[in-house]
Formats: sequence, structure tokens, C-alpha cells
Amino acid sequence: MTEQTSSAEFALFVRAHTNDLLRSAYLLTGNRAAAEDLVQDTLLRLYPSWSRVSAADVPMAYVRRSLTNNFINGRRGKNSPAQREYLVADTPERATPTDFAGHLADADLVQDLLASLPPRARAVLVLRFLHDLPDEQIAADLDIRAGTVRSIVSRSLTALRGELARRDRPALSPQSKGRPS
Amino acid sequence: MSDERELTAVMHRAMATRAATVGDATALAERIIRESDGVAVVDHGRPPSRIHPWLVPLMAAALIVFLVGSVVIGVRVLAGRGNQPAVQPPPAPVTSGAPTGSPPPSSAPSAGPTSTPSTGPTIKTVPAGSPVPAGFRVFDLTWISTDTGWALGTAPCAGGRCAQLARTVDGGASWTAGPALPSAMQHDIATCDAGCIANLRFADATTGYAFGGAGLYLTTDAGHSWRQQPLPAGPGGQGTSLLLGLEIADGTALRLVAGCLPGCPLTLQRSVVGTSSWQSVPLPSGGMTSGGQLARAGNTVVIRTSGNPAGGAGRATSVLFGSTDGGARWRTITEPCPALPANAGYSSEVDTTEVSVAGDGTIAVLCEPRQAGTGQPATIMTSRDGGASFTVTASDPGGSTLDHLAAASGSDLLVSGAGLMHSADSGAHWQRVLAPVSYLGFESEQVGRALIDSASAGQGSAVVWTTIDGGAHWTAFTFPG
Repeated sequence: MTEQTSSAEFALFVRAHTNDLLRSAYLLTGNRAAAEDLVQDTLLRLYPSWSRVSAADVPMAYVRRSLTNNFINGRRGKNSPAQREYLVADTPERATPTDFAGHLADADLVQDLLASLPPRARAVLVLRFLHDLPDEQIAADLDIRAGTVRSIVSRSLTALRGELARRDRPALSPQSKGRPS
Repeated sequence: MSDERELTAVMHRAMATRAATVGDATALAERIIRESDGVAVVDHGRPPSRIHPWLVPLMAAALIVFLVGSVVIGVRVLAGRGNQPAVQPPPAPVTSGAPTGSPPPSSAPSAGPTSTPSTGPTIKTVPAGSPVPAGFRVFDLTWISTDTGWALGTAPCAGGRCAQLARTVDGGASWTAGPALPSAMQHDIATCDAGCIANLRFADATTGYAFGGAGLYLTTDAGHSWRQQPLPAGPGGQGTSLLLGLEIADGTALRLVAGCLPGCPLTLQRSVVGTSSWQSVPLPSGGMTSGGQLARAGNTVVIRTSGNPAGGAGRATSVLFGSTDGGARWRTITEPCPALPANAGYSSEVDTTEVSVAGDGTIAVLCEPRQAGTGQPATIMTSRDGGASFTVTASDPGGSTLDHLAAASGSDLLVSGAGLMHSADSGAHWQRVLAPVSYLGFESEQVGRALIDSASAGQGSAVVWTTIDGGAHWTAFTFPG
């Protein structure tokens, strides 16, 4: 692949997929600035080897895997005075009181849940619930066991149940039983 | 509907809702594409394939053989490099990552080219905007405002250390990697003696110069590509002149060159920033020089040179030239440093060894006894009338060996000796504020930067020190690694 072809394909990919990547990064990092940096960093690191990315079965999966691992491996988000602080635990924008009963309230709650989790667990949830990846794929992407993925998901759903119950959500039956953690 | 399915549905919906609030990414995408323009692409030649485990040790062994062979080739090339050729017309722009000219020495591996296979260690290209590589060490700084600046330094690369740019847009609170430098400019600044690019000056967001013993390069696209600039021919038309200094202000660039050191005339040239045409400017006397310094703040410019080396460089006298119109016209500044009292034990000669020009036009000079071991202290003198008259500071900062003089203003003076000494009252009183520095500069009367060499002198600094009060107090930004 010539440099020009590679460059053109990279530009096409970036224009087509940056929106999706930014959404994933936003859930992972909790704020837009950090999300933009994570996406930009990931794509520019991959650019020199873009022919390899293009040749992958699913280039988007390749890039998303890189983005997720960049996040987990601490290329972003380290609390180091020498690096920008990405405020991974930054409080996200809150829904206004008038939106409390709407979906935004759920979104805030889930964002708080994500922010309370370590990077790998957060990545598991984003890959599972935003991208609908099967447990085995998530395990392969993050180099962990499938059982660990299921455990993380289960614990997170339990935590979500607890938060929803605290808000007395009518959507859940008070006698519902969750899976054992 | 089961509880788990309900929870899963809530999670799905909530994540999608939350993700959608991030907004449009069109601007981000275009920015990424722009940033990628300066990044070299490696031609892998074929799609990725699965690597069987038994191949790994075989590949590792092959890699070791390859790297050893590359070092041998690089050393032989380095040994074979002769004098620089005569000045040629400017070559085609050097795009970051593309090799140019002779194969690089082993300490500066070439980037991955697309047209010429690399025969040396492969440089790790750091995309612009990504984090500054761990182990980055700064040698020079340049600022176009108190917020926006660049650092020239080195970072670890395969085979050693390579030149690396870093950029800040928030006054040094954070830094990102600058565009990769072409292989011709990639040197370990600490070890390449006089033959490397060790200085950086930017005029605005896109136009800058990088220079040193290896020549002069110009960029007009924020460092994504560099074009080598011709220098005046050396003595007898052979080789090229030495570039002693380059300073930019108000849209003009000044460069101080000498055909040789010592013993060749000093030449000042002037150019419109970003152009390749330089015009020589007459100086009051073009005597032989044994060294020179160019100091500038706006339209106030001072050249310090050592002249009359007929009796040997050690007997050279310092000479000052001053300009108040950005270097268009010059006059001689009478040597301001007073001689020592006559003493049979040592020479009474005192020379100006450094000059600094502050943003308010104050000229400060460092006066040091010509003969070492006199026990006489170095002194500082300042002028507020363009060099017509000088006043010695009420007290000296202490020590007979001082360097890195900087005048932030007529009031704030700094000089490095046993430590970085600061005076807020034009030299009446001095206070130690930092360890001895290897770089000191002010981009305004209040904001300045300092570098302190890492453990070993000349290895660059892992820390950029910043002052916003004229040098009284300093804060540190430390690069990782």
C-alpha cells in the first residue's frame, strides 16, 4: 500500500468512525476533553501502520481494541504531575431537575457507576452494553478470561439494581432477585 | 421480563443516551487528519498474518542480527563523512520521516521511508499531539507568546537518543509531542558536538527556524516539514560559515555568522521571517572575531564579539555593536566594563562576556576579568539608553564565574553562578532562587523559563522552570521518565 493510499484510507476511516470512537472514549473517560485526546492519540499512533489496520478483518474492531487498551494501560488518566490530568473521576454534567424522571437520569446514574469502577471493568461494560460484544470477544480484546468478563458484568448489574432501587424506580419489581455476585 | 433483562436494557439505553451527549466529532476528525500529515507511514508490504509461537525466537534472533549489522553500517558511514560540501541551492523540502542527504549516523536512525528501504535502526515516529515520549530532555525553548512555545530536546529512540520537538499552548502547564523531525535533523544533541541542530526559534504558529552546527532549517507549516537554508560560504569559498546566533522579532530575522573561528570576519544578515533571502548588513567594524553573541528584544539588538585575536584568542578584546531599529543600522558601543585596578600580579583587563536585552530595552552586560584566578568578582552593568551609558549594579551576585545573564527588565536581573541569582532592584540585592541553570530566557518582563541540566551536564533538562514574576519565584513542569 503506498503512502498516499494509506493516507487516503486513513482519512476515510477517521471521517466515518470518529463519532463512534468518541462515544466509546467518552464513556471510558467521563469527559469530552479526555475522550478527544484518547481518540486522537489512538488514531495517530495507529496511523504509521495503517496498512496493517486496513488489512484487518474488521478495522473498526482493531481500532476500538487499541483505544480501549490505551485507556486501560494508563496512556491517559494517570494522576501524574507531568501529564495532563484527565479527571477520570470527574463529575459529569448533571441532568437538570426537570429531566430527573427521564432517560438522562439513568444516563447520569450509569456514568456514576462507570466512574466508580477501575479502568478494565469500565471497559468491559462499555464493550458489552454500548457495542454489544459477546463475552468471549471482550475477553480476547482485553486479554482477560471470559469468566472475569461475566463476573464484572454481573456485579455491575447488581450495583445498578441497588442504585435504581434507592431511587424507587417503578420499572423494577421489589421482589426481583438478582443473580448472585 | 426478567430482572436481569430489565437491568441490561437500562444499561444499554443509559449508555447510548450518555454517549450521544458527547456531541459531534467532525472537528475532531478533521484535526486528526491534519495532524497525520506530518507522520511517516511504514510500508508493511503485506497484510498481517498469524505468528506461530515457534517463529518468535527465530524472529528475535534475526532482529538481533539485523540491528548489529545496522550499527556496523552506521559506524562506517559516520567515519566516512568528510567536510561539509560547498553551499548549494536550497534542496527540496525535507518532510518529516524522509531521509535526506547522506545516510544518518548510527545515533540518529532514519525514519521508515516509503521509497528508500531503511538500512539502520528504525526510528519510532511520535505523532504530533501525542504525549511527549518518556525520557524527553530539553535543550532549547522558544515562545511566540507567554502561552505558546516549543521545546527542542531529545528522547530515547532505537539506537540511542534522537531530537524531538514538544509544544505547549497553555504556558507550559502541559506539553504534547511536536511533528517528527526529518532524519537529517535527528541527532543526540548531547553527544554530537558542534554538528547538530541544537537551537530553535519560532516567529509565529507556523514559521520557525532550527539551527546549529549542522546548518539552518526553516519551517513554514509548524514543523511538519523543514527546508534547509543556505549559509554564506566559508573562507576561500570553501565550506559554509558558522551560525553563531539567530533571533526573531517584529517580522524580521537576524543571523550572526562567521566564516571561521577564530580569525574570520563577523557578518550580520537580515531576512523577512519565513523567506530564504538574506541580506548582509554592514557593521561598524568587520574585524576578525573569535566568537560572538546576538541578543535581541524587539528593535533593540546588541552584538557581542571578541575582536583582535592577532595576539591569540586569549588576548581578544570584547566589542559591542548596538541597533535600535531591528538591526538595520548599527553603531559601536564603547566597552562598558571598567578595568581592574592596576596590579602587577594579574591583568587588569575586564571583558563583556555576555549580553542580555530586556523587553523594556534595558541592556545588561556581564563583566568578567580576562585573566582567570584574579579573585576579582564578576560584575553586571545595565544601560537604559541603548548602550550610550552603563551603570554598575550596587552589588555583585557573588562569584567570579557567572553565566546565563538575563535581564527580564531594568529591575529584574538574573545570572547563574553557584545558583541562579535574582535581583528585583536592579542589582542592589541578590537572592538565590534556583540551582545553576543551563538555559535562561524571558518572553516578557514577567514570564520566563529556565532549564537545569539533568544529573550529567550537557544532557538536557527533564524540567522546565517557569516564573511569572520576573524571576523571583519558579514552578516546575517535569517531563515523565
